[in-house]
Amino acid sequence: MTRVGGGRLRPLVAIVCFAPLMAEGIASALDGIADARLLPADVEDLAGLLRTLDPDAIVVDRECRAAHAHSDETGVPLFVVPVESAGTEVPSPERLRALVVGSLLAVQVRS
Amino acid sequence: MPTRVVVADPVGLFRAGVRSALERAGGFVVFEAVDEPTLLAAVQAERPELVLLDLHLPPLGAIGTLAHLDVASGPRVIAWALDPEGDQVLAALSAGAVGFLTKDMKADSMVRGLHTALDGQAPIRRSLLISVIRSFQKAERRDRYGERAIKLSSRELEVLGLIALGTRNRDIADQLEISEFTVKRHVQNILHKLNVPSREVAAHIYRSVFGAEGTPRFAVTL
Repeated sequence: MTRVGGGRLRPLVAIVCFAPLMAEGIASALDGIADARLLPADVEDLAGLLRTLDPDAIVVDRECRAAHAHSDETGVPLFVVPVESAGTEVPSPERLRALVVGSLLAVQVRS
Repeated sequence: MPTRVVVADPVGLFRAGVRSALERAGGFVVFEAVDEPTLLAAVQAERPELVLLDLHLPPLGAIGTLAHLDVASGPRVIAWALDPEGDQVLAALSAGAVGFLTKDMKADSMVRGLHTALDGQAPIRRSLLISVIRSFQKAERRDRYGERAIKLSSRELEVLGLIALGTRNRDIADQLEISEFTVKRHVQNILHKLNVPSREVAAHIYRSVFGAEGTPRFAVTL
């Protein structure tokens, strides 16, 4: 897969996580299909960091205003994988992988 | 010889994260369980040294699951959760967990926690300690108050329950169809038996033992 912007050979997924081990699990689910960049949810100037990274997709483990704003602004797909499982279904690693691949392909087709 | 660890957590992404962190750290063989039956099967088949046990592991949660694990001679169990209450941590430790970690910790901290447990110590997140201590003190106080409350007669408990709801002596008398004088005598007996100076303190004890809504937290033997 070639990257539309940035000339990357593989898509870049920004993982913005409150729980680092969840981020590690998400990164491992995306292993082989994307380069993952782990960003702590409390990192300073997350919006600026996302603009600089220019990821092809974003995964967050709880609602994140900066990630939503970046997604709205750029059209980059955003996945919310809730870290707290009570009452909500957390996708399996395989399901998340399929979702991300599907949406990256959709973006490629659209562009 | 690598350490065998079972990661028992219903969330696959957490299991994957722990597996990835432990494999990177080296020295661990990781097995996964999604619920109590798969955990018990993994423990029997793999004889792990450690179990990392999610507080909400289906179907019974960590406390229920611990009752079915041989914590005396089996694996050392470390419970974990995202943002646990002190009471939950205390309950898990009382049920046999040797430590308690939180899911927002960094990978290297989690690995250190597992090594701590292997060394025979109790890994517990520093941020949890104060809430655990408070829960322990609360439980102690409840037990102490409970012992005093047991000395009360059923009628005195009834009167104290109404006091705890803020009811005045005259209204207590009306509700229980006794004289106000009798209510006052009951109140004096209650204060004497509980060894407290005022009805407000007695009411506080009642609420500590039975809860704010008067729900009993233990069986009172009358």
